[in-house]
Amino acid sequence: MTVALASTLDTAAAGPLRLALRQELQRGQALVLDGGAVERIGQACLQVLVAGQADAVRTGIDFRIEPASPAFIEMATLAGLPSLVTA
Amino acid sequence: MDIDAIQLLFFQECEEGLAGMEVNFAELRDGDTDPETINAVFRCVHSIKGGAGAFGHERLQAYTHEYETLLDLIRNGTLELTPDLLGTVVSAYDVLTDHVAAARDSSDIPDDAAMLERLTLAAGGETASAAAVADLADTPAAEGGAPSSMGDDFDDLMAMLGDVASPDDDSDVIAGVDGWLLDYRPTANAFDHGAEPMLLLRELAMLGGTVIACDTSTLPSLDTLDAECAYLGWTFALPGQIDEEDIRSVFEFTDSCSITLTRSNNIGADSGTPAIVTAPVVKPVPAKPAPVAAAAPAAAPPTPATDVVEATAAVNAIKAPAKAAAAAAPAPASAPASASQTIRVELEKLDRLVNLVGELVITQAMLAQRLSDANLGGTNELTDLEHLIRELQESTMAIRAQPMKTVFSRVPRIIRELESETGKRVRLEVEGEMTEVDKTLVERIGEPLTHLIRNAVDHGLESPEERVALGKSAEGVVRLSAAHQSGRIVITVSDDGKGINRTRVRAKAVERGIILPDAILSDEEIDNLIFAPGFSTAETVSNVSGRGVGMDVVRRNIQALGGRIGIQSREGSGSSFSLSLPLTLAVLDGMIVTVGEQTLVIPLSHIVESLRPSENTLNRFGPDGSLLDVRGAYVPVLPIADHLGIPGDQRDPTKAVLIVVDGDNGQAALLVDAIQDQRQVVVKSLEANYRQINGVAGATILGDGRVALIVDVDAFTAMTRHVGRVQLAEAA
Repeated sequence: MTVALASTLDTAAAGPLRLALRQELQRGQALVLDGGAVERIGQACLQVLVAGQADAVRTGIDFRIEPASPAFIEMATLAGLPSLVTA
Repeated sequence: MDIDAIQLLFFQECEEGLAGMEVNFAELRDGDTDPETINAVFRCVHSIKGGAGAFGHERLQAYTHEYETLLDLIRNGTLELTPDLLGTVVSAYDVLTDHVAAARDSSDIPDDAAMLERLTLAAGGETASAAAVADLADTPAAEGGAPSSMGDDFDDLMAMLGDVASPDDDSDVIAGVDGWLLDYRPTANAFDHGAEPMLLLRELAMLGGTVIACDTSTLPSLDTLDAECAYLGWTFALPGQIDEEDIRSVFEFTDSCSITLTRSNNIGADSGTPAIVTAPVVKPVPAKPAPVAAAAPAAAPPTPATDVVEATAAVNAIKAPAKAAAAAAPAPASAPASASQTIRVELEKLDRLVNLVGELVITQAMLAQRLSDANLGGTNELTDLEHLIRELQESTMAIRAQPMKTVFSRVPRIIRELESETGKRVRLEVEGEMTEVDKTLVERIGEPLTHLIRNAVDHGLESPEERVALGKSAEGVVRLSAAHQSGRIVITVSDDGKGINRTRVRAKAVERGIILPDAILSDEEIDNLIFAPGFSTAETVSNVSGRGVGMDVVRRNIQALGGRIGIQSREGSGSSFSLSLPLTLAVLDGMIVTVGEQTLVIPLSHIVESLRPSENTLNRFGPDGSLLDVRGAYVPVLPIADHLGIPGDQRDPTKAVLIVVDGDNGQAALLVDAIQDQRQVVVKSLEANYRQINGVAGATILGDGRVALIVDVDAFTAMTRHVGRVQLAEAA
């Protein structure tokens, strides 16, 4: 299952992103997030993605963010979370 | 406080900082060699950079970064501050001012490419001596002076973060070497009001910081995660040569975080602490579905080799802590003192206070009236109350007072621009910049003052060649001064130029139909012609002035502020324009007069004298017109009632009282029935509560609760002239 991430992942987008991720993970299928269009991402959405990744690992679901836009990689790197986008 | 309010605060501080920089530049130009002066300039630019980063003004941040780099080289002595280099620094300041304005107003970002190139060249040693350049190459970053290799473009700069650290980091951010360790944890409510903690991470990276670890230990599962709550925390390593103050300033615009900053000269040697890495800053962890805990401090990112410690870096590790300690030492001592000195208050709150005090004055007047009606008017308590309220009012108005420095500090830039536009050389002399006046006036005086300055340089001063030919110094002088005089502020703009050419002014006024060819005018009246609408003596219309609107606008703006403008000029020696303005627009001292059934207020500042004329001092003409002979000068008598349509008033001047007033259009004798009192009144806007009425400047509430109109003396004297001309025309 591939889900495209929105271009703007600010604090306002964190709530809907959490619900969408939870829903997708409940299906129990491998999940690929397309982060190629992400132009802006803040801490709120980053931590939702990290929590989603951790939940996926706990339940043995394959979780990847691929591809990731340069802006996305830059912010994940800046936040010390490079594994998020390279996982 | 929401993010917009904090940002507003940031821009206010920018404004104050920029004004301070102008003062610093003036000191540097005057040969000031105190290192603290250039340090102050550096600190200001650095603070703007910090705020710009925190609020996402990337272009401003990128620009200040380059500016700061150059300033850093100057302050640490790598570059000598030659006049040429100071010129670059000052020019960069002008662009910075535009950048700040663009960020504040969300307007077009200035084209800074040329200036950035100039800054880079200057920082790279173009203006430095060969020795300095050589030193630059050899001097390690721990001296605080190595230029950043960060490019002109912010995007490029950020892209560099993921791959290669800037070379100046290499010498210092090495495991086992002196550095800062910063634990930064946004509080749970850090996203409130749209705040974004990631911007601060970017700011730390701009300082040369590298993230060591992201703490996700408190991050819950998706089921229980609150999307509006912040869970992450970070550990950052920063180069040892960064001042503690600079690191802390990253967080000065937020209180939604906790930070712990520790100094260590061997951070990486502690097995329990992640090492500070050399380049690359943060390498991606090998691709595998790593558990989230891998990002936590306990399982830190891979630690590069720690044995690559160069000799220079080792030396720096010894030098830097001493410098940092010295820099950090004064801060704790001075902080409490400065904190208690000033407090920032929203203008809205202050205006409310002023308004309430105004209401208190009115209520006190009403109380006095009631007590007087009950024959209790002479009580000591009432007199005390009156004095206390007056003092309270003055103290309240004093809170709104601001030094003229706020306006004067913008003038050097205007002068610089004028010098480059006109080719003239100008020395600015400023006096009385700490003279205080109400904030509203400070805000509104800027435009007319700019016109006067431009006029002084463009029309007043001669070209350097002309000046030398006349035996003057090639450099013209423009003097700007402010002083309190008789309860008003007098601002003077003078120059030592050619003065007003009265022959030319008169000829131009005749040509424009402003005066008749045979009009007999005094020198003063000829000088005043330059304020006539559409008057211009410029041979060509330039960008600077000469559109014939400037001086007219100046006069109207000054009049709108309750002020007057006067000229003194001597041909060949220069001109001087004096603006006389009230200290505040909120209260005025007025004479309370009766006209028919109405009570009116005439501003005391316009009143010359009041008298009851005898028949032989009056010269009557026409059915209603008369002139009052005031010691040989004839002043038109103007019944206020006629112009304001007030019925039942006294029309015979010998049975009424004449108030001789001085307005911008000359003197007039206002005819009123009687004088009641003289007192301070609180000005209420008629426009805000009703609409504008010609001849009425505003209104106030009297002790008995009635509304009294405040007479607009300048409008009345203007009417006199108009009426006089109409009558003369009719007679002809």
